[in-house]
Amino acid sequence: MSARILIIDDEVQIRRFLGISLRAQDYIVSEAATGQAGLAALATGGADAVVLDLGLPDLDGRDVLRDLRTWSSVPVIVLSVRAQEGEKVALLDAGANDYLTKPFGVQELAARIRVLLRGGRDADDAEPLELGALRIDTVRRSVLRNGEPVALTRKEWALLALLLRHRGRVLTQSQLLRELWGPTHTADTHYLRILVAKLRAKLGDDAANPRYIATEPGVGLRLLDA
Amino acid sequence: MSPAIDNPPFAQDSQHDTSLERELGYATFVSAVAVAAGAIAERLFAFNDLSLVFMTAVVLVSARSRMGVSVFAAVLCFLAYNFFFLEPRYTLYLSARHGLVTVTMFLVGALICGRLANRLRSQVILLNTARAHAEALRQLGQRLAAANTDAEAIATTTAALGDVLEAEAVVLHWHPASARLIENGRDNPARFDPALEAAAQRCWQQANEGAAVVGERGERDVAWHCLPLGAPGRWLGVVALHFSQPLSSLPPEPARLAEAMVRDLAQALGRLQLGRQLEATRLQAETERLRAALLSSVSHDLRSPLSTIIGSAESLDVYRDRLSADDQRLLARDILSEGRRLDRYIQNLLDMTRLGQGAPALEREWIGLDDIVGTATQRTMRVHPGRDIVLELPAPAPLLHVNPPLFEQALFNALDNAAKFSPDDSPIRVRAGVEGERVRIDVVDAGPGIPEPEREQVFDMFHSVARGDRRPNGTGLGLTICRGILRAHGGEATASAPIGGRGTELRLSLPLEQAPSDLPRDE
Repeated sequence: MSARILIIDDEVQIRRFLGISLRAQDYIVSEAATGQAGLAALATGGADAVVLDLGLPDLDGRDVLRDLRTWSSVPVIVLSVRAQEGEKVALLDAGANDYLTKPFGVQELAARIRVLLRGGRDADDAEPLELGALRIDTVRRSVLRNGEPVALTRKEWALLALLLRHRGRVLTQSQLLRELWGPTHTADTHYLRILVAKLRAKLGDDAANPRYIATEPGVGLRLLDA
Repeated sequence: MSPAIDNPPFAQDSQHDTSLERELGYATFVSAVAVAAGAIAERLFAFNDLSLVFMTAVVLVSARSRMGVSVFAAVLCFLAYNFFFLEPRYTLYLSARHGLVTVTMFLVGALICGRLANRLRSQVILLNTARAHAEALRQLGQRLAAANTDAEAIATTTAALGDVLEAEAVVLHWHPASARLIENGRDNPARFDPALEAAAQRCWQQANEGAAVVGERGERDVAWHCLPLGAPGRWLGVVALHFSQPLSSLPPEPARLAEAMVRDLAQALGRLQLGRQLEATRLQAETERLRAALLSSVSHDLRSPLSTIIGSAESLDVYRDRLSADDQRLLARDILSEGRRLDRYIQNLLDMTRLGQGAPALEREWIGLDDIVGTATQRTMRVHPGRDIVLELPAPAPLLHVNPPLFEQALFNALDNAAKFSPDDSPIRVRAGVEGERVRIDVVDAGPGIPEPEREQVFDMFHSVARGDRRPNGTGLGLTICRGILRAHGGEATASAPIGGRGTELRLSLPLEQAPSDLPRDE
């Protein structure tokens, strides 16, 4: 059965091209032009994923997200304009699952939606995962690189597992820092940088041309979903 | 030491009593000596006419004291001469007519000589005072010319007034908002002196009413003497002088000096204000020029991609049925690429305004050099697909303490610039390294290079904006923003020619901060 996608955006042109391109990929698309209408549509009709624009005429995108999160865990992808890194991070920390910067390409959006729709099912995937030259077994906590075992420290493994659980999605620095070192270390960005550099070295990844772990400047990290 | 201190210009007035006593004593002493000298001269040398001895005494006294004292000396000598040396001796009675004439002539001569000597003395004093005042004024003028701020000018003047007049000087500024006279640089006056307040207020009112500023007549021992600061119609405030010994009114000479000094201060303040106005005008003109250039650049750089987008979209809309599938795809791709170009240009404009707003404190984070170079490279590859970008990064890569989105934008602009101005099939090299306390990132292209005189100008906003039309894909502002971002981080961007080759080497350098190494233990 096709997944249902709800688009909440006040600009008719954006709704139109999103609708056309998503329907072309066999999604069932519903549209709402305001935050209130969007929340109502989600409450009555439901959806498998929501595309939420930040600049709505009636409600602030953040308010819509907060309201929505009190009663729904539907994956939300937020659309924002550039020069709003702080805003993006705040929304991701407030429960958005991913973001796209306007203007964006439809293929990019489609890829993000695919990741979000798959999202939940990956988490309890018992099967070892093949990723490039890596074979990661989350149950036995082992990583093989080209068949050779890679020895990871506890924090390195924790970081990898966290990224893996949100494969293809961005994780903000503060989310990562909180998960790995606790809420008192959310400003110690150098912890994360040093740990990522070590993990990349062990996985044979290159920061300048990453195959596995990509940096989104000012936002966070994303495990590339090859 | 200033000569004025050796000879305070009006000390003889303020120290009236002691100096008068001393002068009178001196006159008496000289007269006594004259009597003794006359007696000796008469006995030993049989001098007949001793009036010359007394005349000399009177001249001697007059040359060193005031008019009254010289008259006193003349009368005293006349009496002594008469008493001791004219027949009948030891009386003031004159017997011979001859004696009467001599004595009268003596008195008249003594008074005239005394007067002349006295005038000479006061002229010497006046000359000395004038010279001291002129010197003090000259020094003040020199220091005021070098003063760069109002506070400096005021401090210089109060110090000079204090030195020369031995008075404490206070400069009060008129503060229109509170309609009060406020001591410069003191929001909360440590000293509140009602006498100062009242004297300054009165002086200010008199100045503004156009009346001559006069001290309080009839009132003795005024603590503060005030002079208006500024020029008629444009009064700035009041300068108040406080003397260690209260005076009923300012003597004319020091008053003239104080007025001249206050006038100099007013001129210096006027000059400083004029300088500030000129600077503000210049800045405003520069901003206007930039705004006009930006506006023309914006309209050009926004319109050219827009005309492609509109034209291609309309072609697709109107002639779709008559177009081959390939042509339709070409038109759609043009719309896409021109749209992206427009987006980059708008991003540049946004960054420009972000940097232009006095660059608020950057939110910095630690990020790996390889990380951020990597993201910028990937973005460049998306815009210039197929370009060969060769990275030569140090291993291990240092951590940079920067604002990641902005720094990535700076790197992207450098790379984008290199890609635009070099042949498509030539590689772009990114060489990074740590040199002492700095990190440098060189972006090297194999293009035609930048002629020496233009290497600094390519970073100039006006330059890049003004030549917008001649640039391929003229987005213009890229390098200006690149440098702006680097400078906001305490770094610098410069262009040069690569060693032993053609093309351009764009060097981004940044102070290296040592990342904290307190990573918690991790087994």
